[in-house]
Formats: sequence, structure tokens, C-alpha cells
Amino acid sequence: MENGNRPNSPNLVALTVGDASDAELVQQAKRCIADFGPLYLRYRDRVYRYCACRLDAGAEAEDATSAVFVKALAGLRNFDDGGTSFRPWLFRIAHNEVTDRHKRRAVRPETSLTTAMDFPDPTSSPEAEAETADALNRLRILLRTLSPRERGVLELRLSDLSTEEIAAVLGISVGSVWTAQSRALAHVRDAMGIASGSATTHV
Amino acid sequence: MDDRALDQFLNDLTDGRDNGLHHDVDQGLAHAMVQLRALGQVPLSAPAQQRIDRQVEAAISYLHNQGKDPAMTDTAILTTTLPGFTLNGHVAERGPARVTHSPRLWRCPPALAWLATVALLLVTIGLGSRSFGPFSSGSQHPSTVPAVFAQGGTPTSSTDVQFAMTLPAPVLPAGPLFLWSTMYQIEAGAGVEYPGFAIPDPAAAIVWVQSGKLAIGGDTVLVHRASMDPSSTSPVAGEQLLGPDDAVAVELGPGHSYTIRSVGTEPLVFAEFWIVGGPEPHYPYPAGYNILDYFHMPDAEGLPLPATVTMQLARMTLAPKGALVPEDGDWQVVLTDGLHATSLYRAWPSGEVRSYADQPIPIFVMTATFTPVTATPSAATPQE
Repeated sequence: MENGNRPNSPNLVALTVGDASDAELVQQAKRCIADFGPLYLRYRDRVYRYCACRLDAGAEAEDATSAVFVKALAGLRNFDDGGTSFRPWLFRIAHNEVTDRHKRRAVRPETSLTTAMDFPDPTSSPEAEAETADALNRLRILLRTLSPRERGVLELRLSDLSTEEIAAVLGISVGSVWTAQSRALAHVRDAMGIASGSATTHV
Repeated sequence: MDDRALDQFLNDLTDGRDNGLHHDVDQGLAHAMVQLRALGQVPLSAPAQQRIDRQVEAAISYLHNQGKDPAMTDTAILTTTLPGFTLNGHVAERGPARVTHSPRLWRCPPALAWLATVALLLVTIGLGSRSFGPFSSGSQHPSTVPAVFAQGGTPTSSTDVQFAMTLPAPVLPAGPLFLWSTMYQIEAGAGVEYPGFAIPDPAAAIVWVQSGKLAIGGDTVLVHRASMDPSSTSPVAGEQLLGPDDAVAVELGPGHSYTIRSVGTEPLVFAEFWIVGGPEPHYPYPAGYNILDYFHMPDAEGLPLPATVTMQLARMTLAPKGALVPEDGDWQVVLTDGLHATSLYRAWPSGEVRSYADQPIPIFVMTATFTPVTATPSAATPQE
């Protein structure tokens, strides 16, 4: 479960994600939109991380996350989970949301990489926040050296999507995902200064 | 390199089934991926989580209620582009749909009402990209963004406090303006450098106290007194003391720095409204500030000429299910307190605000008027 032990807003706290499948939760939400909460809680943190990875500002990542779920609410009625699972559909919305935001910002200069977290968390130490911001900056720097496709594949990998789901989100073949992630990781490995190692065999 | 083996490793890693064994992959690649995953574990901070929860929770609640009672809002006022939605997540624009103070929207078949409702929600959380046109380019008269305009029939009421402060400085440069507004609470006795970070572009700001007692040090431009005795000066040289409904205008930007202290016995609650003459900034919030509400608007205005600004602030009460809508082409910035932020929807970039609460909501509304600073004759460029 993504939300761990953190407190949720009062109206969401009563909702439990449980072991229900996405398809079951989607059907519940389609019957009554008030039951969208469990789906939201299941994917909130993951979608936020995806947005935070691709957008510079914490505030914009928050807005994007909200927008993704409101768009999902909008489309849920017409979402047919017979042929498409919920997760790649949701991340396709997220992918398009951040892409649209990048396009809207294209006329403005690139913003600093040093502003990963706009809002302080009173429950977190400044040191921890600084470490998080630094890690996120390093990740963005690494990802920005990749081609758009390679970057897109890795970003979705970091959001725990499977090969088939990544292919569905980006509209590419599974083979293209294989190729892109191999090239991307080789590039990242070299950028990180990690030596190329021999493959392990069954140990 | 075996792409298939690497893919299997990544899928196992994603599913939490990786045990470090049985993968014929380059260990350098595997290590790089593990490192990347570690870097990407961005925690969702509690304040950020609460803000996102509020937005989505309110959207769920509103849609849920909308489904129960599609005729609930005869006062609906929506001037926006009605988007359509496709399954790939793109928003397909279908051209402008203007619905002005008409109950017709809410009498549509459920599917259309659904789309329209979601369109409103999307717009209010920042979807869409539009810049206002420049104000009266070339005009020698002050360009005016009219003060708050309440749509006819909108159940808005009781303006409690309203004042305007004309700042002689800074001169905002021609180009896009960014609006930044936040309502804060800081504990009694806390003090911070204000804003505590470098601002590369000139910015005009007003700091308005809702409750508590604020001491601000620095080169304040103007002070508006509503409550404090002007003679009640701070023992610290150069500091201004402000009480409830007092406000101070300050010039921010290169070379300017201020300090703020909460000097009362109760927490200080204040709002700041900034107009930044430059592209969208990304400012950190000072530690110790509890954010009650915020609203930012990139590209709210495009100045064709450098200008000074008059900032107006009004405190109002938004009636249940009420709306406050600026005139076409105008904008407003609206904040509320931390208790009611979840009940307000604010459109971007107009700043149109709607309440979905059943109770009145206090709101704080900033509007602005810009006065072009004309160039000297010797510097003027002949126009065709």
C-alpha cells in the first residue's frame, strides 16, 4: 500500500485500499464516484513521485498530481477496463499532464534544479529535506541526459510500471521498451561512474 | 547485452520479486537501476499530501453531490473552454462554451453535466494556458484591472476591509508578470529573514495581517494602518509594527531584504501578495511558516511597458455556493484561511473563485492597477 502509515485527510481516512484489484476498485468507483478514494490512495504517492521527477517545483508537482486524478475522475465513466488496465491508463494521463505543462512552460527559461521541494514538511528535518532535494536533483540531471524516449521509459520504470504497461503508456512496442531501457541504463551507468560488470549467473 | 534478461530483472524489481539471483544481466546496469530507484523515492510531505488530498477529496465530493442533485446550482457561472476527454488522457478542446449565470448547464443530461463539472474542476486547479492580452498598449493612461467585480446575482456579500496602496517602486519591467500569494501562520516569538532568499526580478508586495502582531524591518514603501496606533513603534530601530488589518507595501528584488517577527502573544496570521516582474520563480518557503492557503498565477498579465502598480486588497465574505468572477480579461487573486481552502475552487488564470461550502467563507481578494512609466523623450523610439 502506497500511503503507508501517514495520516490522510479526514474523509479519506475511513477508506481502505485492501487487497481489491484495480479492476474491482474501478467498478466500485464507476458505480459510485465517492468510492474513488481507494484508487486514489493506492496511486497518489506514485503519481506524485512521477510528477515530481518530471517537474521542477514541488507546488507544480502537487498541482499536476491533483489534475491527474481529477482527469481520471473525468474519464472514469468512459474507461473500459476490459481492454486496458487502470494503471497504464492513469499514468498515461500523468504522462500527458506533465508533457502539457512542459509545453506551456516552454516559452519561459528553464528553472533551477535546486528547488526540488517548495514546501517544508514540519515533520521532516531540514537535513532530510535537503537530502531528498539533492537526490531528486541528481535524478533529474541524470534523466535529462537521455533521449525523450529513453527518459520516458525510465521514468515509468521508476513508477513501477511493467514493460507492457510502459509500452501502453508511451504507445510503443515492447521491443522498443527493451531497447530504450537498455540504452538508458547503460548511459546512466556510465554517467554514474559505475563499472560495467559481467553478468551474474545462477548463484 | 541481453535486453530480455534486463527486462525480466526490471520487472522483478518492480514487483518486489528481485532477490539478486537468477538474472543474467550486467551488474553495472542492475546497480544503476537500483541507484536510480533510490534517488527517485521522493517522499510526499505531509503538507503536500494534505493539499493534494483536499483537492481530490473536494472533487470527489463535489462530483458525488452533483450526481445526486444535478440542479443544485442555479447560480452557476462558468466562462471557460469546455474540454472533452479522451481515454488517452489528453484534453481535447472543443471550442469555447460560455455559460453565464444560467441554470441550463445543470439541467443537461448527466453525461454533459458531468463533463462540464469536471471542466470547471480542471480549470480551477490550473489546467489551461492562456495569457491575458497586454493592457492598452501605447496608452498614456493608467491601465486598469478593475477592482473586484461580482457577477450579477452572485451571492457575494459584505466587503469588510478594502484599501489600495500605490507603490512608487519598484518599476515592473515590460513582459510577463507572475502573481504569488500565500496565507501563513507563524508562531508567536518566531522571526525570519524576509523573504530569506534572493529575488532576481523586481517585485511589488503587500503584507497584510489578519491576526496577531507583526514586526517588519527593512525599507518598507508604504504602511496602511487599520488597527495599530501609529505611535506604537517597535523598540527595534527601523521596524514597523502591524496589527490586524494593517498592511505594509514593500519593494522586493535585487538588493532588498527584510525581517519579519511575530511579536504578539498569539500566532501571527498574515497574507502576502507579490507581483513579480519576471518569469515564474520557484521560491522556497521559509522554515517555520505554516501555509494556510496559497494561489499563484503565472503570466497573469503581460506589460507592454514598464509600470508601477497599485494593489488593492478587499476582505469579503463569500456566500454559500457563491462565486466571485472577474470581468472578461481581468483577474483577481483570492485567498482564504486554512479552514476553508478545501471549499474553494480557483480558476487559472482569471482567479475566478467559487465556493462549494454550505457556510459563508471569508476571502481576501487582491486586484491591481498598473500605471505605465513612459520613457523619456530622448529615449523614446519613434513609432510607425
